[in-house]
Amino acid sequence: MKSPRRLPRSLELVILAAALCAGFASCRGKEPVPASQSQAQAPVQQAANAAQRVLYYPAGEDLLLAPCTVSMVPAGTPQQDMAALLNRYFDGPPCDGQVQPFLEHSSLRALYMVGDEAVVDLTGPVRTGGGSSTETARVYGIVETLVQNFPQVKTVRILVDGQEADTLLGHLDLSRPLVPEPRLLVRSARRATGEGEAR
Amino acid sequence: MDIKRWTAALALSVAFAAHAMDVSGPQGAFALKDKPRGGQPGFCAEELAAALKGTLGRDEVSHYPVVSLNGRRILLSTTSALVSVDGKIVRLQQAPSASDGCLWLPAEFLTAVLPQVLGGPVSVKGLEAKAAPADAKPESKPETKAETKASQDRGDRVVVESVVASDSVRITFLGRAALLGEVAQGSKDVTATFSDATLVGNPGGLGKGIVDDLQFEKGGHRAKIQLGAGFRRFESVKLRNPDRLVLLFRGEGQRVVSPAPEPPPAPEPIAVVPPMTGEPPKKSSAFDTVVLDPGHGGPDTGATTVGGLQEKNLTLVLAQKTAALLEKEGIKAILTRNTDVQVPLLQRTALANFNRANLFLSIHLNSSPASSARGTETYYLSRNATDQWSSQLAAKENTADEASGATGDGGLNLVLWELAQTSYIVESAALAEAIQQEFNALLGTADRGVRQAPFVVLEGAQMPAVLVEVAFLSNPDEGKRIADPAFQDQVAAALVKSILAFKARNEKPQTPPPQP
Ligand SMILES: [Zn+2]
Repeated sequence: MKSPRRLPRSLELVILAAALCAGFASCRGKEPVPASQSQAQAPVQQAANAAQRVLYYPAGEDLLLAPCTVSMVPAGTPQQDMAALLNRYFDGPPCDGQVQPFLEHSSLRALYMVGDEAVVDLTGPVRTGGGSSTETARVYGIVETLVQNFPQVKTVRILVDGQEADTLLGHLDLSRPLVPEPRLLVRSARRATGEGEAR
Repeated sequence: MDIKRWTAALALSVAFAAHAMDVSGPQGAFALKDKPRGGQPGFCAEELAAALKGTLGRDEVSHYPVVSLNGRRILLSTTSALVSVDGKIVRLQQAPSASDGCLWLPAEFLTAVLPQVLGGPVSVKGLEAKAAPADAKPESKPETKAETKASQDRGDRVVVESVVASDSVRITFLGRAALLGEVAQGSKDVTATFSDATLVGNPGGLGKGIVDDLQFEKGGHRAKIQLGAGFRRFESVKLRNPDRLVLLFRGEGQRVVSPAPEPPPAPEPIAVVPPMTGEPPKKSSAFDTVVLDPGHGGPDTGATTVGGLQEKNLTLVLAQKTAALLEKEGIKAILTRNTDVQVPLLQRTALANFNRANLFLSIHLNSSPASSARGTETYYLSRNATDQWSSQLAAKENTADEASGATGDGGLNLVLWELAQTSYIVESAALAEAIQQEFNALLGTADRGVRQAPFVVLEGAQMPAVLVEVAFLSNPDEGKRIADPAFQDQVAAALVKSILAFKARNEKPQTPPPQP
């Protein structure tokens, strides 16, 4: 019983990767690159052609959506970039004072464009939880993140497990395409994104 | 007569008989001409109104088409499959459509809606024959060019578009009939069949690899997509606004997981017994009726506290307490539910419309991943979302008008009937502000501000309507406080105070100015 237990192989790999990383500054960039197709890129390339992207998470006392800038390596097509950015979104906010509105194991199942509409197909416990506050943060966190980063996206439609959903948590209408709601952004972001005050 | 000719004659007579639907119900029997659209049998509302000595007109406020039959009012929309019978909502499989001076209704209307209006069962004969497959025509008679065109005109058109990416090919079938498409996957191909619609478009340039070829077959009723060596998996999804069937073919290297299993069939909504039978109540212009909507119910528990208290139970208590106080003030309060049952969101608003309530108030309790979050949030419907939907709708209807050759004034100037709330946005904002101020004072919290978002339960309200998230169940302090009956009384009193303030503000212009 005293003999040391062998580490699981996956953990071994993590430790090995961390040890290797310790020798290369490029592994510890300011912002992590999301788990996505773009991981296949070499670290050196990542630093060279990384683009600034903005994620919107609820923050502060009022939980309005606040921007958080990350650098992302282009993943290929704009659609792949969008998917990579949302994959990064599900990893959680790298900026202080922000919260992740989604539960663990929530993820992007698919993303595609139909005209100027981004169809975002979610999976995992995205319909678990409660409150308009949580629901608006989940839905508009995605809407703002896509619309503000990709000018070709004008509206966003959210599906769950490949199917249309009436709502996520019993409040918001997901049966139609969604557009940004400036009043759900922190004031500074409303100005920064050029979105006026709500009427 | 030889067998072949006899069969052909029989087929023709069946086809002829299919042009009429024999309807019989409490008011006797009558016939309607069958006008199939998008593969579905249907008829013109004008004909139905004439047969039952009813009328077809427009709603004064929304301009939606209204069929009045037997003293009942049926509100329709050409962009929604929802029908309102005196405020009670019935969902059809297919939305009505308007062209060539005919407001088309699906045949299903006769059995799903008419019995409620006529007060008894309605049976329809003549639909079975129509349901026979389109290729049951006598084969001896070759189709002429003119007939082919006529048959194409009878059915809908489905436009085929494609988008090719490095790792996927997306083929989209656009058009109402696209939603009726049947998709089948073989070992080397995928087919999409539209039995009563014709495929148009030239989706070339599919490249090679994931998808090798796309061809139209069966006289343009079927698309056959030849799969390539790089094909790995495919998904299909049917979407609305615009109506379309999307086939997504994926190659290698996708992070996407396998297609979702078919969801279990949606459970029948639990029947609610709201006071929506008979004639809508006669109402004066006075502010005398409020509909209170306790959020969630039944299997939909809403948010929960750490201790396990459920939003659905707390909202019911708050609504009941508020109702009792309103009654004391001489205001009739109607609850969308009085027990722990699930009531469809649309039905909640429909109840308010039916009762011609002066105000609709949906009561909820909030939750946040940040447990420190506290205070009240009051929401009213978002103008951004509704403007977007309205402009999409307008574009869609203009296209439909152009296609049908309808003139501007004859065309349908409809807005989504679910979006009735857009006419009351200003009053709703004022009501939301009144409630927010009252609760900021009650809870002693910083103002979280009035917010806007597209809430399902507010969309169809034909009166000022707001949703209030009274407090955060996820906050330990507020979660404890809201369970206290004394605090619940305070919440109810605050809601009533806001409602009375709103009432006073609205009644003000009606009082004559004081005489000097
Ligand atoms: Zn709720």
